[in-house]
Amino acid sequence: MPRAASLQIEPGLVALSVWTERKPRQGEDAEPLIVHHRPTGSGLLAVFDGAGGAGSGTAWHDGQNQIRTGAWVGSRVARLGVESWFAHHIVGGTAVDADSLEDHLRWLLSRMTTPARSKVMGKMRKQLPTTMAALHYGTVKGQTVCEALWAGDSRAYALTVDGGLRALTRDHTVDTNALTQLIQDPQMTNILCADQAFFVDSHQVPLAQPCVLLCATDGFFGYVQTPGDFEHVLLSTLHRAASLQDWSQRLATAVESYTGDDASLALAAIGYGGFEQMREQFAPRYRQLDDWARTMPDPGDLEAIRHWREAGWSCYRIDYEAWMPGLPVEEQDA
Amino acid sequence: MSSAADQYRGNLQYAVDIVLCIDATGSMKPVLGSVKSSAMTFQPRLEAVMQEKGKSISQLRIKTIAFRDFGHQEDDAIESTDFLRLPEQTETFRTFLHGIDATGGGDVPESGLEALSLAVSSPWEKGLDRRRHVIVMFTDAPAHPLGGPHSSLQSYPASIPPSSDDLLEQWGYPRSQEALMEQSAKRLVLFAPDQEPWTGIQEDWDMVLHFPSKAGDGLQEFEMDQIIDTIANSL
Repeated sequence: MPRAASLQIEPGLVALSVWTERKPRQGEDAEPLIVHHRPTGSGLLAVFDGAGGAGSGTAWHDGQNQIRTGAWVGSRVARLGVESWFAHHIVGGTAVDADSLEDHLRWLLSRMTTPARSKVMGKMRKQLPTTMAALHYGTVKGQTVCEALWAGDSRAYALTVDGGLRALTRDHTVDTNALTQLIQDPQMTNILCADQAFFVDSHQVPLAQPCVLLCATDGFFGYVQTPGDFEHVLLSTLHRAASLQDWSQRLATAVESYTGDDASLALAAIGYGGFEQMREQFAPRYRQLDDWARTMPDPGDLEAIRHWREAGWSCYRIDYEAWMPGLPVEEQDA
Repeated sequence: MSSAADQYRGNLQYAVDIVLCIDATGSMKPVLGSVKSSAMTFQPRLEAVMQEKGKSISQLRIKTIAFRDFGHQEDDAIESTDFLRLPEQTETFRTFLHGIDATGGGDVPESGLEALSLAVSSPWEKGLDRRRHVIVMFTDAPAHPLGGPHSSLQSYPASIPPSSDDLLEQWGYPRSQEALMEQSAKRLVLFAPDQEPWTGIQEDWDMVLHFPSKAGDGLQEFEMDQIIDTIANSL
């Protein structure tokens, strides 16, 4: 897959993907998945980020002298699993659900384990560990309904003119405050893998059209200063783009300029009359965000930066968290 | 995009505190020699491995706790440094390591849990972003349980908890109330034999990586590159 790709699927539905590797041919993100089934009008976006720390051990030699880590293999196997699971439901005419995806991924990943026993012990070490963030969408009576399905700290979002970027997933990490996550990069508490328990979380949201749906790995949103910076990246590149393909290429160039990780993104824009119309509709939102970005203090003044990002986040998080799933019960009690 | 935003993005760095707990009894001469000879290059080697993984370090501090056995000889059972900032205090780090003589300890077990407890209660960095608090335990022996007869010795540190359960409380777990360690920052890397208490810690504590070693063999099977790579992967 090229690092940036775009596609006009049908009138009122376009999609793009971005996939960049920090080190050529060694990226532990799988290529983004975008699938659309024309007869039913339903589709799926998904991204997968193999977890390099937990899965740094060798899992496979690919026959071309290339060693593949457990993280590399895990993200690809999970991608294959999600695509085959979706196709199975489409062919069978059955409704998608998190439980069947979880069962399917567990079955598939457990069959890919390597017989060699690792020298390392401990729950931090996992076989074929990978995150997953997927968005299944469908149109019912003119309304777009979507369901986020995820494990780990990759994310699904909805981007609208009125609400900006809204998270549809809540990371499976020790702390789920998005600013704290940026600052502390906490350990994940749930991730797909071949040898330990995991779960697939889900969250359904009705969406009015038009809207932009996207899934991204933390290479996109984890190397910025505030959660709002990611929306700024999306809209500043859209603002300057001449076409959908140009937008995807600008996103690839932008993320490579700031990320310290592999990065992948799958995006679908639903219900717009064309690329120019979408860009114009988001223009006021972009100007608002850009005005805020220009208030950033001197990056060398750590105290001022700290205050700026906390103040910005306290305003931004109201809309950002509006469609996010609630806190798990135990976190509410804490 | 503003130029200030451009400059600031991608600048999220890790503030890394490492406490090395080193068994300094006689059988540990091999690994102690390796750690000693690597002292001067530890910081650039760790930075290079981190860089390879797309991560950079804003601050690196290292503290060393050498331990033997309170039951054998209490006056040299624990020797330690404060946190030393690298690369600025590399020479102090090197001098301390070279002053450790791998000797004594008598029969196993040793006082590894006391060293681990002192490491847990270290004055960890609290202010900087992306903090990582890593304890690395090097031992080829099992450890005395906490709260045994040695705990009444005059030189026995008063801060050490009376039982392993209390030490687990200090290590913490999600939503624990008495933890001394920050849940999102902490890591424990064990180069230790597959014996108690290390096996139990690996099973019951979170954020632990355990490389089982051959008991009484001085961790000869571990190269310094592998140790540094493991620390970097745990971050």
